Amino acid sequence: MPELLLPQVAAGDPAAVEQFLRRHSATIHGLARRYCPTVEDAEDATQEIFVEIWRSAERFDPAAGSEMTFALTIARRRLIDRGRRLGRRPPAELLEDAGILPAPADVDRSEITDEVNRARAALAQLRGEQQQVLDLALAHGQTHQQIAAAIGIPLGTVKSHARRGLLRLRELLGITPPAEGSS
Amino acid sequence: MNETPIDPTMERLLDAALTGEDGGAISDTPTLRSFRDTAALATAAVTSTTPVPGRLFDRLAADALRHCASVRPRPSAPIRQFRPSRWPLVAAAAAGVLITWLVMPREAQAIDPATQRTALLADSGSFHQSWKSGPSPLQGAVSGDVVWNDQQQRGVLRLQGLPAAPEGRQFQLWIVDREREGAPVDGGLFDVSANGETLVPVQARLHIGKAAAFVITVERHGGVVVSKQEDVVAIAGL
Repeated sequence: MPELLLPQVAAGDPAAVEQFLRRHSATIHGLARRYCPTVEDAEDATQEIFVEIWRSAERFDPAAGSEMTFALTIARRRLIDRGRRLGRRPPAELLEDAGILPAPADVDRSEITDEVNRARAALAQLRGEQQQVLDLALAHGQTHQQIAAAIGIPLGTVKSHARRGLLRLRELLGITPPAEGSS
Repeated sequence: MNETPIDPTMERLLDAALTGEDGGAISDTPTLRSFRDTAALATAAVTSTTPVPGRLFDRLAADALRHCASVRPRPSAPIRQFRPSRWPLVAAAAAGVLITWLVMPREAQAIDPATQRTALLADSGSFHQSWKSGPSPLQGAVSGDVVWNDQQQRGVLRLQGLPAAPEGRQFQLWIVDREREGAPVDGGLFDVSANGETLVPVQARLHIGKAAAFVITVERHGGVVVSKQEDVVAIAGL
């Protein structure tokens, strides 16, 4: 497991924020590029996300998940909110690229952690249609309605693929929620 | 294929994790968090990384420094360096910077700083931000502000509560330019009186396209071309 940085970030350690930026900025910026219609918008969104990460760092609980999931949860929520606020949709050219899984050559290998590799392996075990729906929903910020229209299947089927895919993925990744009310 | 129906409550949690459309109406339960974590991991798995452009990294670094400045430093915490990667690349341009500095007109220095500040504040295009203390233990209880105008290429620092620099050292101003790749631009050396308010004209060594932040460090007497940012005493901007 990589060295934890967020507790030091919360304490205002400049070296920790720098290291956190180096470790996660390319992934978060990559996600922002998928969600935002322009380069400028993606850069503004990336900046907003990191400001929120710095502000939220003290809430990070290593027992509840990794720093990457913490950062990406903030990033997705911020990108979804931003898209709603600005009434924007992801760029069409990126949607056309949406496949089942990204090509390995498309990814900076140095950024791939064991955690991501494990998630990829788990995703590969899902049914093809579940992979496709999750890709469009998570990496492209598409709503269920947009996915239904894009791939030409009923809305109910899209929802079913997304829900069952996520459930199965949680099981494959061994993410077990603690008993409700314990936190 | 017949599949077991998903419980409606579970469906709502799954939808909330997938779409972020909980609107605060759904409690943040461990089950919801487990779905959000799963969604975040899946997102990482299907997202290609995109290198961060230099101009964006500078913005992120400036925000990061601002965050550090907003956190009250712990007395026992060691002060560590913040070293944006491209700073060393600027060393090659150092000679050019120095030459530019030597030939730059000095009319800005000839104007009374108080008068200059008043004029800049009256210009709606001016950047105007308050100082926040940096992580250096030398910060004292700094307050005041900076006013800068990109068009006029002039600015004035107003500082209160900044203790005098230790013997053999001086304060140095750095300007984070949103339109410039690389290190912040040297904004000049200065000293402060032990008490009271100090007004310092900004002496930007290079043209500033769009000022995003101002950072004051303590450096060796005579200043440095590239700061290691070991002693950041104040930050303003963004």
